[in-house]
Amino acid sequence: MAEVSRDDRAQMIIIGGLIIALGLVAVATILNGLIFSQNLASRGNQLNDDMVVEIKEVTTNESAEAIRYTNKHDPDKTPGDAEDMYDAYFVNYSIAVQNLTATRQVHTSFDRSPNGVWEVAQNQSLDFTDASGSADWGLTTAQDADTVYRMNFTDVSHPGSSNFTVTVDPLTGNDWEMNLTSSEVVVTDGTTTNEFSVSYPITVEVMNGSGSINGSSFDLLSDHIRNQEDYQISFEGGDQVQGKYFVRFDPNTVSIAGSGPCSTGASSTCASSSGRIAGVVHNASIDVNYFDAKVNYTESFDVTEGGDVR
Amino acid sequence: MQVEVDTDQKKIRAQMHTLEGVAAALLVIVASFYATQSITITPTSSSTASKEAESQIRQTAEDVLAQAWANGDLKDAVLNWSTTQNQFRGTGASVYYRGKAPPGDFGDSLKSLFGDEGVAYNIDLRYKQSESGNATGTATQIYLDNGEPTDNAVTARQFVVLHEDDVLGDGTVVNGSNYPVDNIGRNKGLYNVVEVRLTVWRK
Repeated sequence: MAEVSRDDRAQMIIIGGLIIALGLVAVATILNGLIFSQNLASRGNQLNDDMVVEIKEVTTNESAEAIRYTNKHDPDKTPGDAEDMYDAYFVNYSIAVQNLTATRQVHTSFDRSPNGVWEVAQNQSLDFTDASGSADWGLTTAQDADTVYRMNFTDVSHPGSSNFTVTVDPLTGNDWEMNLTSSEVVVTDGTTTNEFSVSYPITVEVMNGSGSINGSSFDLLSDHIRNQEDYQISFEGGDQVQGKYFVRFDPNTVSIAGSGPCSTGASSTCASSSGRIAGVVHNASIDVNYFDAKVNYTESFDVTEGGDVR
Repeated sequence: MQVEVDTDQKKIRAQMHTLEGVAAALLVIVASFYATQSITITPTSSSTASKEAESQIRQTAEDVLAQAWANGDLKDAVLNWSTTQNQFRGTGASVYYRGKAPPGDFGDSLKSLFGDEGVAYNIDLRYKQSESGNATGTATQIYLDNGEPTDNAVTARQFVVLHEDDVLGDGTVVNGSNYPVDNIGRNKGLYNVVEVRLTVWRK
């Protein structure tokens, strides 16, 4: 009886060992299959993700291009025109992409809405303001015909830049003569280089648009003007004011050639009665929708003319 | 009585042997299955290995397109068209490139990445056709032809947007009559969107 029990125990040990070995091999096989499947599946998603990234990247680029195109064309357009122009461009883009992706069994759609379609006014007076926001045009409280005032523009958003330097020389009475020079803009009154007269109180304006002033090329639809970024304006010998400004020139005294807003029509000279309002797109909201068999992706973001995404 | 005990012991032992045989057989079967699976994961076998190779070659193709798009080389290549000869510039007698990389930086990238690795590639340009209103059709222009792709060819794609003020390789401004890609913009800034398809395969 005792001999029989020992034999049975040995037999059971063998069977137990076999079952354990069998389990180990089975576990290894299952794990191997699982890991392999996961690896392949994640690779598939990566490829689809790449397509999403590509579409978002190209769409961002083209929305910025649409804004650039809108802002550079038709300088007399109204804000409504600008919105239509942007829409027409982007609709063409979205239809083309939809057509091309449809053959890949991918559905893409884009919703867009231009934000900040602003009137970049060029024939309006806007006050300088002090730090509290109150109108403050006073160059100085004490008019002194012997004092040379220098007005410095500082683009706060771009430290170190010197976009404008304006020198104001007081003359007799209420007339002032102003020299305005910068690396970007050269303004003349058509008779005397870099000089023109304005009436006191001084209204300093920088015109919006692209083209040239008396042969000097400029781009007054540049971002720092259009986006109404902060400028700090200081007067040497005068009061200090700072705030956000549209800076424009006196339309009666500035002659413009080229494709600037005032050049439209028969006369290339801006008259005070000229409609000098240009609609521009500041930024646009984009909704990207992307669907395929594995990916369901939607995202909304804002794009500026420079291609910045917010 | 002793006979009955012996018979029971024999039965138990027989059952043990049977169980042992079954367990051993299962072990052999599972081990064989595992080994069979392992054998498929070899560099020379077809399915898994070719997927790995395809994945690598697809990634390379996507990278070269993305890089060329980002630095403008791809757009330059797409626009490298001669209006006088009505063909891509530098193709010789053909409208499109045959058996050689296109000139320019994009072509150089293709040559450096695929030239010495026994890899062939074709390039097609697919674009939306200009039809009335809401056209839905697309058309394809062959850009580079190196023959018929094999079954394991992979295709990478990249969108390139053309604008109405873009200039072709010969210096003329692109328009619907001097370039094979249609103008869908109709004076609205955007000319068309081209999908550049790079199909790559091992020879």
